[in-house]
Amino acid sequence: MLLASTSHALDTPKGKVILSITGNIQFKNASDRADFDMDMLAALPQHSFTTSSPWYKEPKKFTGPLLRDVLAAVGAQGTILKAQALNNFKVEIPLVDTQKFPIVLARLMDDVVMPIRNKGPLFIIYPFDSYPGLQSAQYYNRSAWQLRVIHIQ
Amino acid sequence: MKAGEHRRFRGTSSSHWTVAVSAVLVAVFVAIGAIQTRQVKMLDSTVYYNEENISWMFFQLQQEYQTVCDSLRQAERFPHAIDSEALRQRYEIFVSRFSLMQSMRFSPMVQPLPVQASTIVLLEKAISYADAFLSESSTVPLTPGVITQLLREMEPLDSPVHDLTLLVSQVMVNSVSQRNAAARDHVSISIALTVFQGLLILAFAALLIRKVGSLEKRSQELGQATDEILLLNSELEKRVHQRTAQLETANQELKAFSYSVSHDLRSPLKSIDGFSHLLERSLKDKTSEKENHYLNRIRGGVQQMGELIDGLLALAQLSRDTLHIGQVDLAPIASRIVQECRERDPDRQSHVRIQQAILATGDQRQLLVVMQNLLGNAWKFTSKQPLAEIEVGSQAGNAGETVYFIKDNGAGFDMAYAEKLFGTFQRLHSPADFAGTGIGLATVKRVIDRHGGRIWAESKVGEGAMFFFTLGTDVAPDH
Repeated sequence: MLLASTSHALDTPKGKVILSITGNIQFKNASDRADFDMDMLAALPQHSFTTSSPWYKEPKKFTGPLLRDVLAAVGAQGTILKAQALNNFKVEIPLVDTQKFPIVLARLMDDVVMPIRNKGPLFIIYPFDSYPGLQSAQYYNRSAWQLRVIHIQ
Repeated sequence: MKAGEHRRFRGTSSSHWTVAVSAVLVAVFVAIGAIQTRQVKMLDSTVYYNEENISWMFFQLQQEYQTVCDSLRQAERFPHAIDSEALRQRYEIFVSRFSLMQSMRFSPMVQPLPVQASTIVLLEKAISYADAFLSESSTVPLTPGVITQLLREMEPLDSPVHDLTLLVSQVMVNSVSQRNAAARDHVSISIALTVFQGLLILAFAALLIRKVGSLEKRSQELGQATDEILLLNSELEKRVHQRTAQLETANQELKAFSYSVSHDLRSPLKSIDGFSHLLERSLKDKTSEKENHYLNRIRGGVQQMGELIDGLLALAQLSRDTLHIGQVDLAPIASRIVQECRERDPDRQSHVRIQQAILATGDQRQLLVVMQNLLGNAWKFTSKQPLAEIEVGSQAGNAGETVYFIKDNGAGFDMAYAEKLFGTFQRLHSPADFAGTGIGLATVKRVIDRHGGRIWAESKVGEGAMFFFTLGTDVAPDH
């Protein structure tokens, strides 16, 4: 699967790197990967939705770029996305999910930056309430939080 | 119990069984539904993300706790290579696991364990101390002294966190085992119910098959019964034809016989009458009173026999004649008859009322015979009244038909003998009181019958008689 790129060149992060994308990607800003700081992610088109989830009692509003836009920004090619958390926890997400659902790479929760102790700084979140079929352990497990690295296969 | 009732009883019993089996089937369906709903709910709670991952989260808490402690120990051993940012990140990750564990306090499934509460207190205390140095927002330099102090605060938690993780694992294992056991039980019950359901369906099918069989049998029986009835009908029709033919033949023979007898009897009767008359003339003044009486009796007997023969001939003739149906006014007929009666008995006092137009549909000649007989009787049986009162007319009957009547104030008769009134040769009065042959009313009845009507009479001895007749609505000539 080839995700169409909307930018020809990838900026270089000026702040602290919070996300690295490795693997089969076209556009890189480091030797073997594409690094992002918060500003770079904030510069992409932002999307918001409010959804309930197993991690919070009340529905929360999540804001950030669509995961498919982030992957398009690096020219990701492949079928599997491996999300790796800060504690090296890894989970596999079929790339097709990013086309089927408006998955958000959330950087804000209830319009506030997410600290590490509250699953930040990045949270791959599915629109559970908009798609009842997503309300299962399979998709809850794919919602990686404290995201640090995405590896495209 | 009759066969029909027995069959009905069997049918009702079978219906009751069908209803009972259906009801039990529905109950079993409901039970299976309830069990499966419960299973689904149980499965839901089993796979419910939070609960299912509780042991995993506790494991992660312990893991992250160990990682933080290891990082602190590393920093204590190599104070010159302390990576404050990495250390603080590890600490934050650890704290995030702790926050998650705290959120589980409201978990509907896992009741907080006593150990959990005390461990949480210990962890909260340690975190509140460490936050000042290790939180993301802290700017306090992480000197070897601070690291040592932090280790001293964190390391005593090792055993409680480990114990809690183990305990939670055991609780979860027990919980899952219980759920598995419950699921097994549910599956066993479901299997039993499904088997029972299968048996019930078989029973239901058997009942239906039996019912269908019984219906087919009844249908066959009905078919046979219908065939038998049709056969009987055709036989009956055949017999009716035979009997009708026999009756027609017998009737013809009877008519021929009565006609021939009547005619054959006339000839010797005329001889007896004629010669007895000659004898009476030739022996005139030579016979005694007694001998005269004998001769009179002979002539009277001969005359009565002649009248009987005439009556029989008339009856036979009426039965044979073809009906010519038309509109007849009985009023002028009645007037003529009464006129004749008055001319015959000019000394009698009578008051006769005849309705003006008594319209009827029938054979004029035969209706004349009817009126002659009925009015003749009325005239005859009022002969002993100083003033004979006779009324002739028609009125509407209960069913809307026209009822014709002839009333008189004559001798009347006893209603006990009313049934005999219209029989041939039946007489309710002695010839000494009122002369007659006993054929008149039989003739009248025969005519009325042929017209499809009916005749009846009401009377009391000494208080006169009322004769009523109808002529029917479907008068049709017979041949």
